[in-house]
Amino acid sequence: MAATTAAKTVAAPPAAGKDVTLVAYDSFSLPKETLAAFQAETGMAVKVLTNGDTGELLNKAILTKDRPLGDVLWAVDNTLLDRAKRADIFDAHTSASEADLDPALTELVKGVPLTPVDYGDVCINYDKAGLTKAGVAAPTSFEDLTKPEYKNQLVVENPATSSPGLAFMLGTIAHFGPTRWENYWEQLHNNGVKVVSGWTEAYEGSFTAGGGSGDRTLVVSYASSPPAAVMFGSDPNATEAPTGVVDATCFRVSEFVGVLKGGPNPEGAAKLVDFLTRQDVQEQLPLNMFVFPANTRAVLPKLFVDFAAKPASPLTLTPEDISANREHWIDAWTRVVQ
Amino acid sequence: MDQGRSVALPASPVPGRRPDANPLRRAALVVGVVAAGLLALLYAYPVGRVLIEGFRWSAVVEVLSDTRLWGVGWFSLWQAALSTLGVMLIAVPLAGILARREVVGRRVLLATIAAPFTLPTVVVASALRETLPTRFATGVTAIICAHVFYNIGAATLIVLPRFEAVDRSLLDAARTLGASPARAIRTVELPLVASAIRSAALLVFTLCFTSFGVVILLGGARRTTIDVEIYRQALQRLRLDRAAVLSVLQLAMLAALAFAATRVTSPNNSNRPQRVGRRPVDVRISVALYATVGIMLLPLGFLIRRSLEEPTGGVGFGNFRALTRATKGSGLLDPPIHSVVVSARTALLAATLAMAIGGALAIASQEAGRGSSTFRLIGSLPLATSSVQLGLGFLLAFASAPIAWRSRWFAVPLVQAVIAVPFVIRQISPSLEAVPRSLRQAATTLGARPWRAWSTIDARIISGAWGSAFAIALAVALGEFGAATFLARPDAATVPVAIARLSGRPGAVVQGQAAALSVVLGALTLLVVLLGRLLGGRQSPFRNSRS
Repeated sequence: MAATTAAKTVAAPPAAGKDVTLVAYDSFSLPKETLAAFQAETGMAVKVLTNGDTGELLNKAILTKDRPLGDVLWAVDNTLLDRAKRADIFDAHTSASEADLDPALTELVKGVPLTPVDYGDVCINYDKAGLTKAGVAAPTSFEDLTKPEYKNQLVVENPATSSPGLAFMLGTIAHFGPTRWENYWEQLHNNGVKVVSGWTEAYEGSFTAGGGSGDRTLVVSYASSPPAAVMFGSDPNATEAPTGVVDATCFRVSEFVGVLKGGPNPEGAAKLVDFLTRQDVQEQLPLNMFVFPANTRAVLPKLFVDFAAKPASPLTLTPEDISANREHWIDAWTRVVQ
Repeated sequence: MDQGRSVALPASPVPGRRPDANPLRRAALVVGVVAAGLLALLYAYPVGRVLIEGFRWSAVVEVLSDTRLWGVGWFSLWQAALSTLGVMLIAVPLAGILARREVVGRRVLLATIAAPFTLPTVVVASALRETLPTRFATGVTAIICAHVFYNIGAATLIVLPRFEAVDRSLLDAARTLGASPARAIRTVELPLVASAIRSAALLVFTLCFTSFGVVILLGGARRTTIDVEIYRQALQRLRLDRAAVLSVLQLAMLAALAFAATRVTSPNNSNRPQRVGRRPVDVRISVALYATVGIMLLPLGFLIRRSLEEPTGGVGFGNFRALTRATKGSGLLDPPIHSVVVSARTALLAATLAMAIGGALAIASQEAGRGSSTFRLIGSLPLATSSVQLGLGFLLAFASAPIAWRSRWFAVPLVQAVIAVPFVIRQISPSLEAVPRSLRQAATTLGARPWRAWSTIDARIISGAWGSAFAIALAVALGEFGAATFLARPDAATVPVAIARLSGRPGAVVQGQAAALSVVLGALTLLVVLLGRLLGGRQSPFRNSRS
């Protein structure tokens, strides 16, 4: 399928050796071959510029809109939609695969010049071996995390600086409601929750099943982290993942790409957005970035089918609700926890 | 100077008295006005924008009603106070001993003590992180240790000349009258050096209060000073208005501090060194002092050791070789070594521009003569704001056409040039004053045109100072972190920005790269400073009364 698509496009004369720059957050990752396929089809090389977490990168893009960092920005999620909308930094472009994209996602960006590219759930992950060693069962709810057996076991990301951190905080607000969530965080704080600034620090640095030097058996990560843990674990053919997901704590995050206004290569930008949302490229996302594809025709890899958690009803808040309260919530959180 | 005073007497200048003065003066004034204009655009305008934005009522109310932000202000104050106390408790006795005892290799020792103060703050932070046990490697202990390490040298060298100026016979007299050594020091010596101690403490407090690099690297998620909060509000939350309010509050606090300082710090009284003859070297004291300084410098040793630890175990240059490879998840697009190229380019440009602006202002100040220091004052203004505030100012001021410069590559060298101007002026001015006017007048009398007289006499005499001023400007730009954090484009990170990004990430490879890059930056800076000292000779900023 990929081959036929590629062959078809190569027949058209490729635009003369111009680069397209994709500006993405740090954990963006696609195989070299995939990016090379884009060059083969269009004659344009993709340069990937990664910088910081979603929120900070979007801010950089807004602050540099007079001289854009690149052509396409992959750094907006549903918690930042309002900011992206207000900043007016994107040019409208409708993906060639628009009809195949999950309607629940396209609905979120109605009237906003952005294209859904993936989604995932942010949930508590636990280290199965670590918990067994400590002799405690896995938690099953937000409430469990305040129990004494999980004292000093949880590491979370700061919602002011990290998108999974923000998503998890929003999850607690969705679950406990606007009046009781602060109280919940106070209990987490008293139970020794550790706060770090980003996902890499939390998962690779502090989580016992992460980079190896951690001391926390519970971490805020993704519903799709267990497949990653298997893939990078000691046994890639394991029948059970070393980490588990607390389904009841999952909050849905959807991500979007957009064509940066005034970028050096608008034509290449449009082609790149088409490319990124195309079925064959979308099928690369799960095992490279551990997110679910936005394109409903993309087939999930076995590893995902086997190990990724699929919470039946992930928590969510409307973009309008988030937009109206995000600042005030982050301030409140910071007051309680720091 | 005497000439300057006599001007008040004649109602009009005597024609022909200084035939060289007018064309040169005019040229100097024009150049000075142009330089002042540039500073108005690159300094006054951005800071003005911060002030305007910072007085928006709604944001002011929002900031003042946030108890957490009060906590940030309070933390900034108390950590600065504790750091200052720590610095002075070590620096004052050290200076006292250095003043009364002869030490082997005194100049080397003093230069070594001064070294940490010339290092970039991110290097200091990296060094402390490698030194402290993991439990203390982030948080308030780490911050205060880093501040103490960084500032001891500066404080010692500020206090030392005053200690040296103390008339020893007064102390002897006290002893003869039966005072114990401790009592003699307390009642006779300390009061004589008190004003120097106060100005040193004030400098240290100001530096710690506005500390950015150290706090952002060592503070963890919880410890935040005002400057760090300005950065977080501006870049992580895009609340430029709140960041501006915080800047204004910090400026107000610094102004209050400066005002209080003028009330407690008496003007410098006689500072002539009393020590004429050399005393015999005191070996025991020498050993003790070298041991102390050695302990003070331990963090640098730990940093170097860490940089030589191979990611796979063992000792070697693996981390330095790894600087030529981009690591996934390192947060840098290019191999870390690329940042050295960016920094070199940026610092050279910044230093050149700082020399042009600072040199013009210093010369204009000198040629305007007659005790006028307006130009020099204009040039020292950038000292009043932190580099973070200036970075914020650039973001606010240079946002839209025709001066939409905040996202251009040259924003960083521009802002760093502004930051370096006061250092250039401080370096050049004394040498300009030292040029004997009679020489130039003699040249003119012998038929040299004013410009030729200036270039053969003045320029030659001050060239050493220019060299060292350039080196200091380079060092300032190389280590500058706050403004670069705001303005560096992701594809053009300077070395301090790259170090900060690397050290915020877990993973042995990335951490090793951070340590190696810190060593590279530290070595580069020390090299530049050393070259500057060699060029500038007596005009070194760390000059003490003896060398």
